Amino acid sequence: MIPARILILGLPPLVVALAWWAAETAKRSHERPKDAIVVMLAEKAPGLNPFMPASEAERQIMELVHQPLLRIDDDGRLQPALADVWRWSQRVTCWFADAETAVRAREKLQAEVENGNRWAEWRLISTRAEGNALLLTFSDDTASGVRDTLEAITGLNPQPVAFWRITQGRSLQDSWKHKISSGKLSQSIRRAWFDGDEACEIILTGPSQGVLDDIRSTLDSSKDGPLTMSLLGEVAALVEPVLDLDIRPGQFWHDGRPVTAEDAKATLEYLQTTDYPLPVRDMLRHVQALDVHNDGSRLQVTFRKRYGPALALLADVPVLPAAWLRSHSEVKPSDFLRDLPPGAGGHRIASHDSRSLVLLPAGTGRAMPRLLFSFAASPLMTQIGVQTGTVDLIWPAKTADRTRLPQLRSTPARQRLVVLWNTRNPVLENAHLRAALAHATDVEALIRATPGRLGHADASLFAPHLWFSSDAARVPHDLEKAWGILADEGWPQDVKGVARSADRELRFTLLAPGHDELHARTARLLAEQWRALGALVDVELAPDADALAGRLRERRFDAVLVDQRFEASWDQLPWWHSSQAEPGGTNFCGIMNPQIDLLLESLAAESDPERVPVRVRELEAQLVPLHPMLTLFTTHEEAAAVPGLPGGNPPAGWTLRSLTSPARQEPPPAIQLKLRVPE
Amino acid sequence: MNGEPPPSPPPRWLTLRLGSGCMLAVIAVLALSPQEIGGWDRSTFTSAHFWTRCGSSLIVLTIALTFSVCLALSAELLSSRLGSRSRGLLACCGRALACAPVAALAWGFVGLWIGRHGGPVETLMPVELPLAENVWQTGLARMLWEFLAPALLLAIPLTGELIHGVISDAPMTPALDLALRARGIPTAFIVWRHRLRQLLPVAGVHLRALCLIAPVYLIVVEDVLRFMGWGGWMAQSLRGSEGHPVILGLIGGGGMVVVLLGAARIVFGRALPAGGKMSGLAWQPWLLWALACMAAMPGSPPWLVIWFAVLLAGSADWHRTWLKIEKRLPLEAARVIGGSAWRIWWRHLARAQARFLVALISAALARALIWIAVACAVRPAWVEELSPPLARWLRPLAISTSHGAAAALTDPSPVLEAGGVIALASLCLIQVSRIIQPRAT
Repeated sequence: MIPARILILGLPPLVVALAWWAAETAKRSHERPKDAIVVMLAEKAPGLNPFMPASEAERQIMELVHQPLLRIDDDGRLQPALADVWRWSQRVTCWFADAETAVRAREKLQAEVENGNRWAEWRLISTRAEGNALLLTFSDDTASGVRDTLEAITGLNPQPVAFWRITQGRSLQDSWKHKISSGKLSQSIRRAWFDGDEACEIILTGPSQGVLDDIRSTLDSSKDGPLTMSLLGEVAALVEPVLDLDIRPGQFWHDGRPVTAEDAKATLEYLQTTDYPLPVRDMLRHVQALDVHNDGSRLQVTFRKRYGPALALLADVPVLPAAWLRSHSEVKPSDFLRDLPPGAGGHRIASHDSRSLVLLPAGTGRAMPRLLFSFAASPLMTQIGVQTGTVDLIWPAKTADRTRLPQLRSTPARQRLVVLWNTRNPVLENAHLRAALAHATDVEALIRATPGRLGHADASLFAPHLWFSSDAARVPHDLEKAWGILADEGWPQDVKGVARSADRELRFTLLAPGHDELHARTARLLAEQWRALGALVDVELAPDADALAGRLRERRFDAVLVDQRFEASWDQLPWWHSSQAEPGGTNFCGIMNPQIDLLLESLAAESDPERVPVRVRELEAQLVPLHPMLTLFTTHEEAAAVPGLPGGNPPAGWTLRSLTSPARQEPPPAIQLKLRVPE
Repeated sequence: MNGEPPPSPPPRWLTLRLGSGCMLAVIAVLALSPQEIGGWDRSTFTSAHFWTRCGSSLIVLTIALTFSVCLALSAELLSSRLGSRSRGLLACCGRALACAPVAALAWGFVGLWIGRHGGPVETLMPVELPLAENVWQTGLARMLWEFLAPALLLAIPLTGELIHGVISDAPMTPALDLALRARGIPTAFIVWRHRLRQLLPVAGVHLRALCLIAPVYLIVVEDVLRFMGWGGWMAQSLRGSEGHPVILGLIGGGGMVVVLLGAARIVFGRALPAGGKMSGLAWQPWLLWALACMAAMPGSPPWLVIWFAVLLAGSADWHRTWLKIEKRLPLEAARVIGGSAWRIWWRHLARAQARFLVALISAALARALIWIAVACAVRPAWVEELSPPLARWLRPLAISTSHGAAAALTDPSPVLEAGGVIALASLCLIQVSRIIQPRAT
């Protein structure tokens, strides 16, 4: 009787008590650990490819794991990362009839420098004879001492350096690799560079007709198509800019191996073989050679020609270990998931699966939080995370309960919407008319009426928040002024409110991507705003990205609404130079102005980051008044955070990196080498 | 159940009958399902993962049923000193609990426990960093809470059913109280020895009847709490209308019912079996078979199946009750006097039959309402096939999307209000049935 009584009376309260204890203990155990940050994201788990992040969140996660050679900091300045020192120099190579002559040339130059005290004047750092070649290194890539140096050795008859361009109908690169690179001919060819698959440029010295004949006989066959050779020019010596990057000592991969220049070289060589749409590809096209010196601590990048933005383009390009790249001869996207490459960043990937990713601090020096990313979080899971207090950050913010996560963090703007005008269009060729359309555009109204997180964009051609950003003022919205401009240009409005010239009405087509609601809606709103001005605008939606790209390439558009991706590079030559204005080029607006061409060329050649802002303003002073482009707004994302989470909302945008930096630290100064001239 | 006649004792060879019923249900699903047998993955049938899920659900069911029967017996034994009105009120409270839709209870728990209190439900928590090592108490607590949460949630309607059933049927046991007290036996002995021994068979019958319905309630609970058990499997299978997972679920569910009934036999002893074919027909988990058949035939109006299931489930009990009512009517005397069959029917039977029919329909409506609420919670798409007024009532319980679930978590009041309306409507129908039904004694 007693056991039955105890069981019947005692079991329910016992179960309830046990459940209460278990629930309270479980609740305490789920409290957010102080050394960890939990982030819930609606997107699916990333592919962990550091070169092709599919989203802003993945990009920022990869930035925590992988380090680049250089980095753009929160102030928009270039800062050291894996590389702590960098310098430009210039290598000049002269070829002589024989090795003895080359040695005599070297001795003559050394005597001239030492006896004539020409160090400061010539800025010649070193001379070296290799076979019949004399290699000269100048400390400055703009050194004017090159001419004086070459004059000093003219008497020894250096061989002329000839640039030849070879084209063939079919794949030239494969034929070259199989027939030329592995044969004796390669010893006579000083340099070879491939411009796409069907053309290459080579450098020959001295009597080269025999070499050319051999090349022709080797490559020319009816199967591969006719071979054409053309002489581009001849110079006295080969001048090649060289960028040296010294790897900071004491850097290690997460598997314990030291970071060396070999890793950087392997990464850049790997990127040369891929087709990732990275800005650094613009730099890699100009690279002649990648070498490692100083026992693996220095990466030497030899360029074909001066390309100043190379430094900026190296920024934020992750470096991977050479050992990992070599062990995956043909790296596939799935390799990044199956066999994670170790990084050198502040965090390492401890575990990952289809729903989560855990990052742990890599080093033991500075206290950094653990990070847990939960992917594909449903609205229910997100809400549970908020209600139970087990989540710190929810991305995007629209899925978060804002009463619990009141703080909004805006990510950096990576792109903006712009309208490109076809300046060859009979209607839009008038710059004043384009200015009138700019005045008629109310960007504030667009931002209010368009879905998504949008930010204000200035009228600058360049990315914002960089040290050379100009923050050029936008054309203010002023419909009255716009009407006035139209009237002055001979486009008064008729009784129906349509602007007309003597022979036509103001009508054109606005082409926009059709697959995105943001673009389609923006295009329609723009058409409505310009209708108020008196312009009849037909909105045409391109069915897909390929169709849009084709129309741009063939210049079959009047105006086009596109995304302009922000890059750290200051090279604007592809977008505005007259050499790219024809169909097939990238100067979609068709700007052809010799003065602007010169400014673009000098900006592209500028290698001193401190002088870039001046050149940027010079260029914009000429180009922006032509109104080739109408900037609208930037797009970015927002995350919702619990109160007290470190970071904030810096002007350049918030990133996950701010969660791992408890206090703002002064970045280490970049070391710059300067030659001091003795008084 | 719920104001209907007390459940008839289980028939002989109940396990065999359940197995046969399960096979018939499987055949029915096979016949109705458009999927071909050849395309099925037979390895699922031997998958350890599925049977592990069945084991987890069995643990939850065992805890819930044990908790419920202990609480029901405690309520009856402790309230034996109270007056009949108080006991009637207690039975009414039990009935009201039993009428509450289990989906409303589950979502209400989620909304209040997680949404308002911020408490965790282990199976609903998002991904977290691993626990620090050597904290066994936390691991134990989490594991206990993972099973106790669904078990206690399931126990709410089951407890209500048992409290109502045991208190309502307790007066049918012989009243030995006075006789025992006259012999000087202490009250505690009377209650905990003699009274308990009388109540155990009653509780046993009600518990066995609950074993046929509890697994279906468990489907809703596990689906809401995302518990990795047989119920979650069945919920996904029923929504997906995939033939072979449903069949596997039926086999698993049938197996669990057999195990529970076997355990009930061990604890409560062998019940006196009822005779008759109707008894054998009634003792099947009709709601489970009905849901499986409804899921296998997409596109057809499903609610007829629920009605058949309701009528079949209560057939034996109602038949037995009518026989008792009929026995009390003076039909034999009227025949002896020489009344015609028509006159006898008009004067003695018609009224009783009419009242009985109304009572049956009311009770059946009440049960059907609760079963339809369960069906809509399991497969929300079925709400759209209801008539608009009923669909409007049940739609808050038919949560099909993550957004809907998040909304219920933030504000469970629409779900609780819908549950309250359904419970109130069922309770009223049951009361109508009780009032109108002719007395059998």
